[in-house]
Amino acid sequence: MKQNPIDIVLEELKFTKTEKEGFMSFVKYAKTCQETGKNQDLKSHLENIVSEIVEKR
Amino acid sequence: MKINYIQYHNYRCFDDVKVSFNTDCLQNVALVLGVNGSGKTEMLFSFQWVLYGFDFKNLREKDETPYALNSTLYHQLEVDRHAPSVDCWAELSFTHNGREYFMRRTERFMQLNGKVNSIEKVSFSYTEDNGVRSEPENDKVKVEEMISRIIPKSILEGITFDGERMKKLNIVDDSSKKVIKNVISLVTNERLFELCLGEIKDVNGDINRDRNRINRASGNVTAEELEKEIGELNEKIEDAETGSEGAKRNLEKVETKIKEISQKLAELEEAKRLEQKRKGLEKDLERAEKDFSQGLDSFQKRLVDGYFLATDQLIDDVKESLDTIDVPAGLTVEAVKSIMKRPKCICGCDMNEDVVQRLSMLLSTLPPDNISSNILYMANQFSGEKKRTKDLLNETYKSVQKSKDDVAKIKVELAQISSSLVTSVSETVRELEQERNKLFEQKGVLKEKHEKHIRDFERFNKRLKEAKKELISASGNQEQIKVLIEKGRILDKFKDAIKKIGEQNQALSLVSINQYLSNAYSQLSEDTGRRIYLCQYDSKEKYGLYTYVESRYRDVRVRKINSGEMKTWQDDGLSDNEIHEKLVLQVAEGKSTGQSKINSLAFAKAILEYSNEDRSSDTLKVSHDYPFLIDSPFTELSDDNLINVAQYINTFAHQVVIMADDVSYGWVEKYLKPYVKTKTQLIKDKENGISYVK
Repeated sequence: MKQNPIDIVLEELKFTKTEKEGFMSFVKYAKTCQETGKNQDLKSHLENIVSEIVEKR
Repeated sequence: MKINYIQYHNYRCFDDVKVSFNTDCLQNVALVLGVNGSGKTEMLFSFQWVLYGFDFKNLREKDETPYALNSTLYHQLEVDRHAPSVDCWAELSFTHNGREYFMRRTERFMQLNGKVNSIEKVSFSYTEDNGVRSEPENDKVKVEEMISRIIPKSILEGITFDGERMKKLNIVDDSSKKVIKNVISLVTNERLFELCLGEIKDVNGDINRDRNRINRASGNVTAEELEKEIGELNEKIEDAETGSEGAKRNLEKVETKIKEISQKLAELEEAKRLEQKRKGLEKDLERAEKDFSQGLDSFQKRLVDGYFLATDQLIDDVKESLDTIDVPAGLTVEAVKSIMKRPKCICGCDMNEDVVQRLSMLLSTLPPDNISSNILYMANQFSGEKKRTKDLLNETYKSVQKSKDDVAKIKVELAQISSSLVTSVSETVRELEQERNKLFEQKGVLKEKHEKHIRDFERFNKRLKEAKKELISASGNQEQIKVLIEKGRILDKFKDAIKKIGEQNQALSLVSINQYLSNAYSQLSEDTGRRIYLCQYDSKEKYGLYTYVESRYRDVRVRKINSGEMKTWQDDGLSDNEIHEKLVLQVAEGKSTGQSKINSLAFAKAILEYSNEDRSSDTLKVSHDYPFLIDSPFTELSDDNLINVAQYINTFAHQVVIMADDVSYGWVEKYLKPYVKTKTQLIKDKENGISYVK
């Protein structure tokens, strides 16, 4: 099966499973914010994602 | 997005007019007909005015009326200082994602100190879920932000076409490339990447500030300084990136100009011979400059070991101090102790009190093991290393010097050719040559600048990595700092990923847009032997819209295969798409007017089809469903080009708004009529210059 281009990049940059999940969650949320025009929460969303990744280590 | 109506009051040539654009999926065309001067183009630009404001000076042949107000009312205000203020407005209603929106722009005109002034205000509202119209938003910045999420300004420029814009889009120059670039950056959703990068930078900034605060509180000066350095390095890296891009762009422009002049010169018979020699020398110069640059690089790398050259005094001092210690080589503490246990010394004397005392003194001066010989050995090794470094430096320096001499020699030869061209040939050649020389100078400066920015970028990045590592050790065991450093590392990773994915997304999107473009062109153009291509790899030509004759393309392709050039490209790692582009650029051609219109229409169709794709499952891109608005699509077209456009214009978007004059509509009515849902006839009252709807 053809690999998703995003997956290829994340693999190249040696993203761990947790980092990958966090990254995808960030990008998806950013897209939602972009569509709704409400991006006030995007920063705190990113902060939480990064904190969670560090905690899971 | 679907346009419902536009309504005017005292706007330009309209008095009180409302035009509806009711369409459905089977009949998706709304037609506005009218003779020349009845307000069709005014109507097209009114969409831009109502949504984003519009500079009427941009309207051709309308520079005498650069304002939104109806000109009769405007002139009344000019002459009558007691005239009351007058409002003009336009209201646009559209439906987006099932919700109806209303955008109204009003401009109030009044006379003030003998001059006509105006104040503009906006009002944006929508129908809420309960069917009630929302409170209008009047803050211009907020309204613009909301509108730009639904239909960004650049997109509006990509989907509203008048004859002038059609032509401009198709002339491959910086301005058309800019328009195409903006449209593509919007439909490929580059904004998402900008948004993500902005947030990452923001959070990273907070983390840096937190680390600074903690380091300051704990008095960790080293860490604090490193934090400061990291902050500065990040700024320098950004500057180097921006500077490098700017220099690269300028360099490309200069190179293009040089290429153009060189081509002109090559065409002049008298300059041909010298030109050929020059080309050879330029290649030599490039090689010599490359050698020089590589030599300099390797010299600089060797200079890292240059400290060996400053160690002469140190080695001499070490050797001298070892000489002053009167200890036989190889004599150790253990050896002296063993001698002292014997009845006789190795010199043959009895082990009396005097000998024991001497040996004890020797023991006190003797190093624990024979360190002196080790030091001597190391000093000699060091000496050898120094010699090797010196030799290597000499060698690389000579090589650098040689390349430098070569460069200078070639430059002299080039200058001689240049002077021959200037002195021996015609005035035209002289002028061209002088211009080219100036450009060469500029090129040299820009090249140096560009390379410096790249070197700076690499140097700062290298130091940034080191500083981050140093920061980790300087921060000691403070748990908080460790966590913050780790967060910063993750954010850096996110940033790298966003940048890479952004680049990839753009490349893939352009491949897809090119496919749509090619299909649209095949559908619309009567010329079946021609193809169209939107440049996407070549940095100089990127976003240029080119057509080419397919048979010529095939011939060149075969030639490249036979000459082995194709194999070289493949070996260089160029993809099939990149090779295709190289070939297209070699056979790209100019266009006739009729063909230009087809090119622009094909581009508009491709962009609309690409942006209207269903993207509900796409992580990065969003679906838009834009309408298509066009003025006079059938003029300047003939034969099959005209028929094709008439037959397929309804397939451009879910809603197509066409402004046309009655005559040109007459040519295509039989093709278009089945798709027309609403038809509005604009009538011009010549006496008072007002247009109204029949």
